[in-house]
Amino acid sequence: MKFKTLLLILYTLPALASELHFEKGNQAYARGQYENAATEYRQLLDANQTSAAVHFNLANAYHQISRERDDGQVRGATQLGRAIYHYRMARRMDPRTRIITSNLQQARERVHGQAPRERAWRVLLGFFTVNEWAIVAWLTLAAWLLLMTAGCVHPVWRAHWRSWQPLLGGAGIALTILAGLAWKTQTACNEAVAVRDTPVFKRPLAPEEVPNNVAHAEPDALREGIEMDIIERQENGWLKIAFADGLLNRSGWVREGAMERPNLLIFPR
Amino acid sequence: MGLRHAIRAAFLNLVLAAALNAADRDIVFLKAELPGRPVYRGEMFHVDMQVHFPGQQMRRIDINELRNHPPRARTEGIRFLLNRPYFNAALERVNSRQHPVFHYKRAAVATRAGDLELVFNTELMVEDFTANVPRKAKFELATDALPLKVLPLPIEGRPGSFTSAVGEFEMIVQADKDRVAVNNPVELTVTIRGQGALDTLTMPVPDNAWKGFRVDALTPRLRTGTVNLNAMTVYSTKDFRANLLPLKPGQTEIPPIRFSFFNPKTRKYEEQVSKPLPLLAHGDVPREVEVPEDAARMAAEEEPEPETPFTQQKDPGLLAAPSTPLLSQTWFLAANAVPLFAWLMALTWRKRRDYYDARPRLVRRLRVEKLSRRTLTSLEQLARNGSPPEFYGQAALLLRERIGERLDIPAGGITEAVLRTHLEGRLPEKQAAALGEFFTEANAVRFGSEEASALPQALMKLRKNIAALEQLEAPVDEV
Repeated sequence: MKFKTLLLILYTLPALASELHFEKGNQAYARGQYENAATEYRQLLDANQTSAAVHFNLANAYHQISRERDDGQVRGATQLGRAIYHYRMARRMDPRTRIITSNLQQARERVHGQAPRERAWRVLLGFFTVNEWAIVAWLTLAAWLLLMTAGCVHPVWRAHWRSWQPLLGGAGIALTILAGLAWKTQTACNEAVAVRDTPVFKRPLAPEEVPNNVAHAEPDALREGIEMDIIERQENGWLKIAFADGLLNRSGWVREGAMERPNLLIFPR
Repeated sequence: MGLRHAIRAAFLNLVLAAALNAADRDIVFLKAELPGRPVYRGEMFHVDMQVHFPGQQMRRIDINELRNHPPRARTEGIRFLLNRPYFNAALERVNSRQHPVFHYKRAAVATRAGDLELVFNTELMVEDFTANVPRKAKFELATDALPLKVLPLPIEGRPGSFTSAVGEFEMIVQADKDRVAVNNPVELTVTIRGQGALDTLTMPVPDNAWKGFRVDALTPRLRTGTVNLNAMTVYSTKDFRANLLPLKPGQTEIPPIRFSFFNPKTRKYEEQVSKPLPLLAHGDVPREVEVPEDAARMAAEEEPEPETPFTQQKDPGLLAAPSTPLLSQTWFLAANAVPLFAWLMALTWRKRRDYYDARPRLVRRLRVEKLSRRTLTSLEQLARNGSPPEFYGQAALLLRERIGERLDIPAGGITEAVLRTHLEGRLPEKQAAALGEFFTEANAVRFGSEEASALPQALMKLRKNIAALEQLEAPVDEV
């Protein structure tokens, strides 16, 4: 009996500790201590304890830190890029909660001066999580195949679902394609957010490697909070990126920063 | 003559070279004018964005292109107030040269305090007259970084009722009636008008937070009035409306409403307080209908809390390590394959069944061949053990089945007479006679009128008869 109790305690202890961090973070946030709140939520993520709520609350904390900086109350690096990163992570896990999308749009508005319109295919693929897409596609396809199987066993039954069997099949195939696309988009690791202002270059070379009379650096740096698509990666850390900066669509090469001081946060698989 | 040609050629070369070397800025550029004085956060100010076309003629400029691509703020820190800019064109003299200038005038407010550096940009398709052949080209225009000092609103003297309005405003409070039945609505209109940004302003509330009333807020209405194009100041009006429902009968009043704003001209906060409006509530307090506990609980559960931005979520949800997507997991892919395999198997089974259903003669042949294999094995054993009636019984049955299959007639109805009729001309006479003899012998032994000959020899005969029958052409199904 004692052994079972001990096992139960050992099993529930990490969960309780995680919830404690979450609660502490919420309390710090309520007091306006956003840095402390962010630290508490970060501890959860470092311990691999993630959920949409943790990412969302952490993003809110970063957003508030960046707002304080804007108000001139706190000096230092803004955390708007990290806020956008964590809003997007939260949305990836919980795509239909409106408040996450709305806060993300507000953060983007602060980066670009206006909320950029998301591409229609991204909105469509983002309506479900990758797992939800997979399950919906599988269920539809399985229902269609089972109907066809039943039709093979009892051909008389086919008459009952003759009209909507093609619809179900079409929907199943379309959903499978969408699930595949959603999975490919998420696992490609080709999206990132800038968390520091980073210079953009015309070619994957350090400025000292290019003669002075050759135009190399782009006039405008990659500002913090800008989201980008990674088009090409080189082994020496150079990334070819495409991004929207305000109204302009730009592209160029940036160098990935060191792990301890990253300039880009790349979305994981 | 030669010298004149040479001078003209040199001049043309110079013009051509100048045109080719012309920078984008010589074709079109964007400029913006901001107030030179510091502005307060939330204060309305004007922004005049100008697209200049040096060296271009007004009639060659595509006005629609300009109208459709107004410049925007690329950097954060300000917010425009009106949906579209006031757009006008003029010929202006800049550096003693006259050229077309297009103005986009907008009213804006600063959203953050500090030393801002603002950049405005746009993209335009403009005729590039410096090219060898004039053509339309895309120009990405951006202004230089323009400084704007934004002052934070002072903390000293800030009234408790201040809700971030900056400008010069007045407030009018009206109620549509002064006598109403209890729990019936009086429409209260709070009109705030003046110069300043009103789009984000929320309805002011009295000190007692509407005690004694139930309040149903209606959608506010914002109207833009006159716009001063020089200063780009907007005179607008915002009507807040709410239905107030008195909860108790008797003489009461709509409490005074406080509205305060920061006036950037006087650099002070100003507060306006409305007069209390008398209201007579008559009738009885409606009896409260008792709501069953379960229904009340269900209603409470159904109504989710309104979501406000940047409010933390209370429930951490299921905390777990990020999992691999299902589509990357083998078991899920295998589960996906199950219905597909089930269908493929069912389809194969159905095709096979339909095939045999359409070919009854083939099915009969296959059945007889199977019977033949089985019976011959059994007959070999019977021949060794010596049981003539049983041997001949099985042999006759096998022969009937084989003959019926080959002649496409029912096996049960085969007699010696039938054999003679059907086999005549199809089997050699000798073999037909041998077959008849075997039948006669089999009948004789089975019904006890004759002694059986040696069974191994009888088996040989049977094999020969079956081989002879197999020479007959098998009936074919019509599909």
